[in-house]
Amino acid sequence: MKQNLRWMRLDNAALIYPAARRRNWTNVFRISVSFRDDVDAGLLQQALNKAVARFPSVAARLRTGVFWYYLEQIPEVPQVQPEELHPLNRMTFRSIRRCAFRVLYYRNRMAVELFHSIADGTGGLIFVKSLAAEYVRLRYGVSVDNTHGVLDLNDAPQKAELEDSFMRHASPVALSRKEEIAYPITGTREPDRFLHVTTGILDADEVRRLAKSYGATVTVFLAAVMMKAVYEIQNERVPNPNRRKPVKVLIPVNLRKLFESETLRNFANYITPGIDPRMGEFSFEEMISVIHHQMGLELNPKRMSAKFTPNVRDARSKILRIMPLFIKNLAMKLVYNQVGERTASICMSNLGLVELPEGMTPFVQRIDFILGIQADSPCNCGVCSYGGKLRVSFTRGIAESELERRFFTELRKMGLHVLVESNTPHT
Amino acid sequence: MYCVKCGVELADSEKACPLCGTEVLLPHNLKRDLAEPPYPPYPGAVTEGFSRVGVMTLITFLCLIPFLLCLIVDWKINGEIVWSGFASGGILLGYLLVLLPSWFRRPNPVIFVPVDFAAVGLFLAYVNFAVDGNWFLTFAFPVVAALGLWLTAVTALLRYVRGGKPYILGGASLCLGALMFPLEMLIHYTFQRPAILHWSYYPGAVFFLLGVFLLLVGIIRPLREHMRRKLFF
Repeated sequence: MKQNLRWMRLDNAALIYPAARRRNWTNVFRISVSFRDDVDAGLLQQALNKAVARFPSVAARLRTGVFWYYLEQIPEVPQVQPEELHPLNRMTFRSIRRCAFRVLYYRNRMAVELFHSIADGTGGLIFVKSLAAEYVRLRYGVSVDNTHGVLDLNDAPQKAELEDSFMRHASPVALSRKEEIAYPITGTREPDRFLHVTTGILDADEVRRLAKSYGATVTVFLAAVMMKAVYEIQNERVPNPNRRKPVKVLIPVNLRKLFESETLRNFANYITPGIDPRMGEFSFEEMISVIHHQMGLELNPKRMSAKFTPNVRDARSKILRIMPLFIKNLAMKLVYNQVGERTASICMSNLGLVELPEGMTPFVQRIDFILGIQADSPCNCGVCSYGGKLRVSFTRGIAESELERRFFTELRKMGLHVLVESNTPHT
Repeated sequence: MYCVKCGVELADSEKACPLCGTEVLLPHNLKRDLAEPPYPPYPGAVTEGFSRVGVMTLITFLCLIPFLLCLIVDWKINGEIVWSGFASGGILLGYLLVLLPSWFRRPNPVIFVPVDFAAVGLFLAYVNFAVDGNWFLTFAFPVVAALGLWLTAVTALLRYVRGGKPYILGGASLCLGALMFPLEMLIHYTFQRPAILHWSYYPGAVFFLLGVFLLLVGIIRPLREHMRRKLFF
C-alpha cells in the first residue's frame, strides 16, 4: 500500500535551485563533524533513523509537479554511505528525486551534504548538530542537552520550523534586482570535474583581534582580504585600468537574525559589497571601510525584506503561477544564467561561531563548512569556527589556485598563523 | 612543515603546498612521513546517464505523431486509406528496424534480424497487393526470405560459435555469390524477360573470390596473423 506521504511547497529561495541546475551541476553544500574516534556506521544509521522524523523539511526528496517542484517526505531513511569520492561530488538530479541529502562517513568524520532547496546553512547546521548529538549519545553513552541549536528528536516537528518565512516577511516595496556585473574569476576547468578543497585553519581569537584592530567584524575582515585577493588578480590579468570591472564579494545573510523566524528551511539573502577599481587604487583599509558601510546600509530588516520581495511577488503572480513548470524553468534558467552568478566575483559564506552543548564538545574535534562551486563561477568559500579554530574552506573547479594562495599569504603577511590542508591527490 | 614560498604551515598529509605547488623542502637527514589524507582518493568522475525507457518513450510518441497524422489526413480527404498506408507503414517499418532494439539494454541480433526481415517482407506484401503488382510471390518474398535466412544464420554463427570467423565469413560470402544467380533468374521470370544470365556473374565472381580468400585466411596461419596485424583497429 502506498503511504500517504507528507509534501510541501518549495520555499521562495529554494525555487531557483532545481531550475538553475545543469547536467553537470547542482547546488549542494556540506557540513561535516569530526569526532574523537572513527565513526561507527551502524550507530550513525541509528541516529539518522531517529533524526529524519524530526526534520521533515530536510528528510525530503524533490518531485516534479505540473506547475511547481515540491518536496515530498522520503518513504524510507537513506543509508549512510562511506565517503569514496571528493567532497560534494555531483549530486545527480535522479538522486535528488530519491533523497535530497546524503550522510557520509570517512574515518572519524561524518558529513552531511544537502541540496540547497531543502535548507540553508543555518537550517542544515541545526540538522547536523542534532544528528551528531544523537550519534554521540549512542556512541559514548553520555547525555547531551538539547541546547545550542540541538533539537529534541523526541518532539514533533513544529509548524514554525516548516514555514516559508519569505512569504510572511515580504515588504510592500520591491527593490530592483539589477546589479552591476562583477569581475569573474576564471581558469582552466578540471577535465574530470574534480573539486579541489583547500582548507586554511586559523586561530579564531587571533583573527578576531586582528579584525578588531581594523575596527571590523571577522566577516567584514575576511571579505576584505578576499576582495583584496580578487582585486590583485584582476590588476594583474587586466592591465588596462579602464577595462577593469567591479570587484564584489557576495556575503550570504542569515535573515533569522533580522526577522523573527524559527524556520529550518531557506531563509537567507545576500549582500554584495564591492569596489570599482576604475575609480582608482584601493587600500586594504578602504576595502574594509567600503564593506563595513555597505553592510551597515543594507543589513536592516526593512531593506532586506524589500530586497527579497521581488522574488516573493514573482512567486505570487497569477500569470507566472499558471505557467507550466517547464516554461518557468526556462525563464528562471535564463535569468539565472544571465544574472545569477555574475553580480559577484566570489561568494564567502560565514556560518559563524558554531557552539555545541557541553556534553558533546569532548567528542567533537572539528566542524567544516564547505560550499559546492557555482555553475559558472569556479570558486567558492565557506567559513566556520569551532573550538577556537576558524576554518576557511575554498572549493575550486579549476586548476589554478591563485585565489587561495593570495588569500592565505595575505593573512600570513598580516602575521596570522595559517595551517593548510587539501584534497590534492599525491602524485 | 612550512611552505618556503607561501609561509603557511602545511598539514602532515600534504606532499606539496596546495597553494603554490612548491614541494616541501627538507633539510638533510630529515625524513618526513606523510599522514593519512583528510579526504579519500578520487577514483574519477561519475556522470549521469539518460533514462533509456524515458528517451525511447519520448521518441515513440514523436514517431506516433506523423504516423497517425498521415492516416487521419488521408481518411479525412479520401474516406479510405489511399496513400497513407505506404507512409505510415514506412514509418512503422523504420521504427521496427532502427528504434525497436534500442528499448533493450543488450538487444540480441539473432532475434532482431529475422524480425526485421519479416517486417520488410510484410511491408512489401502490403505494397504489392495495394498496387496490384505481381512481383511479391515470385520475386520479393523469395529474395527477402533467402537474404533473411542467410543473415540470420551468419549473425547466429558469429554470435554463438567461438572462433572460426574467417570460415563463417568466407562461407557466407560464397553463399551470397551463389545467391546472385537465382536472384537474376527470379527478376527475369517475374518481369518476363528472356531467361539468360546477364550480370550475375560479376557480383557472383567477386563474392566467390572474397569467400575463397577468407577461407584461405582461415586455413593459412601466417596469412591470418599478417591480416590481423595490418587490419587491427
